[in-house]
Amino acid sequence: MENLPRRAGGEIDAIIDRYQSMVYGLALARTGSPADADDVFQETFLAYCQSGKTFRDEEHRKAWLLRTALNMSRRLTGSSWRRKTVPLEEGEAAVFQEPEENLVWQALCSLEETYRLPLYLFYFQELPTGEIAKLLSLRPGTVRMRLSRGREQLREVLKGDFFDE
Amino acid sequence: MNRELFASMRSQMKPSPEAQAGLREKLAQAKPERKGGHYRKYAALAACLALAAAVVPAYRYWKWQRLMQVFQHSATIEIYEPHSYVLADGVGVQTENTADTGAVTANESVSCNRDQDQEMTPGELTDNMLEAGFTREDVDAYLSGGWQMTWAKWWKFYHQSEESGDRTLEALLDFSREEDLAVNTGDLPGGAYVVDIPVQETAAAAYQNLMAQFEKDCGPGSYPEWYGGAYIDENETLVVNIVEGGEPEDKALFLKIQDWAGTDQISFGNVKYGLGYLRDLQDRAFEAMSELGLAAGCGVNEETGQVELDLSAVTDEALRLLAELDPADDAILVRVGQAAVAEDTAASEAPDGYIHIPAPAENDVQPDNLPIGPEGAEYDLLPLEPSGVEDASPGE
Repeated sequence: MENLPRRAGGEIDAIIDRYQSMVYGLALARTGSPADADDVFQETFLAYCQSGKTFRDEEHRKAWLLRTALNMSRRLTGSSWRRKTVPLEEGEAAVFQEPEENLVWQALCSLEETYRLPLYLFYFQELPTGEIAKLLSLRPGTVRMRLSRGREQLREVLKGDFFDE
Repeated sequence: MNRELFASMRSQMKPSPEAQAGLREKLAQAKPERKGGHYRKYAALAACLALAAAVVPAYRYWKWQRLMQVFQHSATIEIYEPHSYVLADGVGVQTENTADTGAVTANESVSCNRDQDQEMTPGELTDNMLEAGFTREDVDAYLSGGWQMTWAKWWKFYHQSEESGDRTLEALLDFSREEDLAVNTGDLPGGAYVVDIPVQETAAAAYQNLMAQFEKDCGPGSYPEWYGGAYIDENETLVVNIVEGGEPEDKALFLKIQDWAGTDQISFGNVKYGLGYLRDLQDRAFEAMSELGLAAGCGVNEETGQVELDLSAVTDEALRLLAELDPADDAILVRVGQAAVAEDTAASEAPDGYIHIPAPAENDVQPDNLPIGPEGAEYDLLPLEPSGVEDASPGE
């Protein structure tokens, strides 16, 4: 992996290229809307450039971006204007190329947020439970329990498809 | 779960090209980095903490200053030199025979008490006797006896005689003897006699002329600043007091006064305060003492140039108020009734620096010392020299 400058603002294109799918994916999982995810993506990297923050290492930078993206998503979905509007049926639009991918994604989005975010972070971003616990301000045991229950629910929704075991 | 599937999905999770272009555009417009942001935040936080920390001491300081102001104000009151006073028996109990000009007494606030306490002038006695059915001869005969009738005694006789039906000169004389009414011998403190009215006539006329001139020049009840009062001395001469420091050597003023009075038989004296000031001081002192429920009588002695204030009792509050009214402690002579003071064990004895004036007992009343005048205005002009009061003057 290419060494990027620790200070925010430098090599921003490389930073965006490396972390844009992570930030966008988390925003998409949190908001369920590609348009909102685009907004969160922009706000997160704008905040990153303007923070002037110096990171210890890449893990630190990654955790900061995830945390900021999560906060931006909550701010967006938690606004009073947002709560009083009825979104268009954009969830029906295909996000991924393959039908089964869209099927899995729709199944994931049908879960409660309590289970959806740990599942996304664990399976899509491949974060360990300890990192997930820090990011979501939960105990590791709670994260593992939610992963277990979320996986059961997802299995139930997908009727056992796409599960290796 | 299928890791390949998730990897494929993850690789497709990219923001739209529009979002990426928008981000780059925003990044180009935005400052590359916000230097010093932390310091500003910390500086603002420190300023807030400093402000919060300063508020409490500032409030305490402000409160302390307020307390100090109150304390200083209280301290100012405490260090007030109390007004002096003298103890005198009977003050506040009996207000008749006060020769203070323009005297105001507490009893005057109740008209019935005033009537009962006041002596009747010969004119008033004549009118009342005639109305009661006495003849002119009876009136003249009674007046020639020199009986000093008061309103209270008169109404007592009036009702008694109405019940008994014996309203004759003999009954009135018997009543006067029974009531031990003072007999007016005509003697006055300066050797003058009531029957010698013509002796004072010149001085009284001069006084009336002077008052008329003042009323003309200054208006009713007002006096020139240089005027300190007037009285008739033992030689039946009108003495006009001039305020010290005014125009002591201005002979033109003396000549003018003689011209106004219509006679050159006028003497001049000096006093510290003008009569207008003393009148105002009299009103304020009497009002202040009345609010405290202590006022018994008040008047201006034009001979001494002082307000003479009679109190039924004395308190620290009263002395403090009087000290405020009379800072030099020489414009008001405070006389306190001893009976009232004796109730206060702390004040049962005259404090250091104060003089106790024993009043004569009732049976020691000297008829010769009773200042009586035939008419009200001239009565006011009569000088009064109560025994012992001279020595009690705070200025001496």
